Amino acid sequence: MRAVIYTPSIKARAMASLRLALNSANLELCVCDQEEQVRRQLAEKSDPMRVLITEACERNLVAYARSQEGKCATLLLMSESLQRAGADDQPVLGNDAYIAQENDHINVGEILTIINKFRSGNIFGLDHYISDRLMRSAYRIKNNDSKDLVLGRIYDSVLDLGHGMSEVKFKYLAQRFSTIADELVMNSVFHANPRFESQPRSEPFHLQGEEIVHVEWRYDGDYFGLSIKDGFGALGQETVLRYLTRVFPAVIDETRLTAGLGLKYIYEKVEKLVVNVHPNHQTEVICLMSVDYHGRRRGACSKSFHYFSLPEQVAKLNHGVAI
Amino acid sequence: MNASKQTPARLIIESMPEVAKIQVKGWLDERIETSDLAKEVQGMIGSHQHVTLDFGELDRANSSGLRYLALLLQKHQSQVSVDFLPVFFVELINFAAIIPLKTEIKHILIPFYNPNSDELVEVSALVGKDIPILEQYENFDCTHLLPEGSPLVPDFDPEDLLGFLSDRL
Repeated sequence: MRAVIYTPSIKARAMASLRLALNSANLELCVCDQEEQVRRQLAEKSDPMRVLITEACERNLVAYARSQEGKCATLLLMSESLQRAGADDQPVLGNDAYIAQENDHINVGEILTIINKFRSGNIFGLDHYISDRLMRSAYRIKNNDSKDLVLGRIYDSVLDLGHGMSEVKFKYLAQRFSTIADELVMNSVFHANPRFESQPRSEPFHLQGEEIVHVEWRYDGDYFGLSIKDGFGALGQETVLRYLTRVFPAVIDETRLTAGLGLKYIYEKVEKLVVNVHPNHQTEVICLMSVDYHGRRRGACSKSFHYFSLPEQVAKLNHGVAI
Repeated sequence: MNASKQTPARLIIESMPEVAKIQVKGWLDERIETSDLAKEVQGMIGSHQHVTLDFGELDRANSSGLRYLALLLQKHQSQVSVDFLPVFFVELINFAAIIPLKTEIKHILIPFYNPNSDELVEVSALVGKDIPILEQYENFDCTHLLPEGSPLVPDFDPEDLLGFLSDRL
């Protein structure tokens, strides 16, 4: 697998992290200093699997990479917020990952995770991001009662971690984590599922078969990880980016069925937002949130957004525990 | 699975002839709209000149619960105040127009951090007195809310947390 890198304004420190990650993943590196060189490398057919790593402003190169035959992933290095970059115009769409730089540093583990997912084609699962060494729970949501039970369990499991420690801190974390889970479950039940799309949210729902929502959460000592899966595969990257860059109106619209905070609120409150889609089969949204909660630090923290999509014909994956 | 310690929204109501205080506890989610609690809240707001909604013990809210609250506050003609807004609730207000300008905001529960012990504490601050309404809060210093010599430091970005108040100038 070949990595074609074109990052004219990246700092030396970030470049060192990037090289370290790619070397450890055994990628053939091709560091380019001219656009034409990038195009030649991307067009090279000897290696069918290529990844372009470039900066947010290089929209033409991203479009070129997407137009190439074979498997070509694009990773975009962001030095500004995704909201701002996404709002600029459309060509920023279509990347597999938007990776934030923090203090001119790139997270090596994050790059490796992306490369591994891309290389293996196995895009689903929390285990790409977080181990289950301290806590793992998985449930299925079929109706309002099981939603309440699962969200309550999430809230309590976070709260219990803080037993005997800072009560307020863990209350904040529990509130935030269960609110994020709630928004994602509501999206899976009402937005992804055409049967409930126009149903008032206050009416009870009963899910069957592929409609059932799978919820898993983990804690590894540093991060809480949450995965919400539905069996529809309907969440497009354009939709996600539109919600992330959305500006809310001054007055809540009575005709809308929710306040619509969903993905934008979630993206603001987590360190990493990952959307995995197997079109028409499955959507998984993964959130990672640091347990080291401090509001002031959190505001300055870098964020990443990954979007992975499988070809439609790949077999469907499923897991979860019934309650 | 064991029943959670958390519960759907419930109300504690203190009512006098013209003034009522409604304490909203638990979860504020989609169930509120069809619950008896909704009718009760609407009835209290309709029959009292001044109603205070106290959110100090609200554990969680989702988009659907917030939509209900927003529409409730937009529609009524009574004087309504919201009080003891938790941080997660204020963060949500910063995203969407949940609290209309005609609704008075009283106290906000704001977080302070002790760097020595990693302890987080909430301090109740009265909007308009402890927290003045400013054009912007970027350089707002709120350490005046703490006792002299306190080791606590603010654990929030003032503009991020309080920025929504600027609309009330």
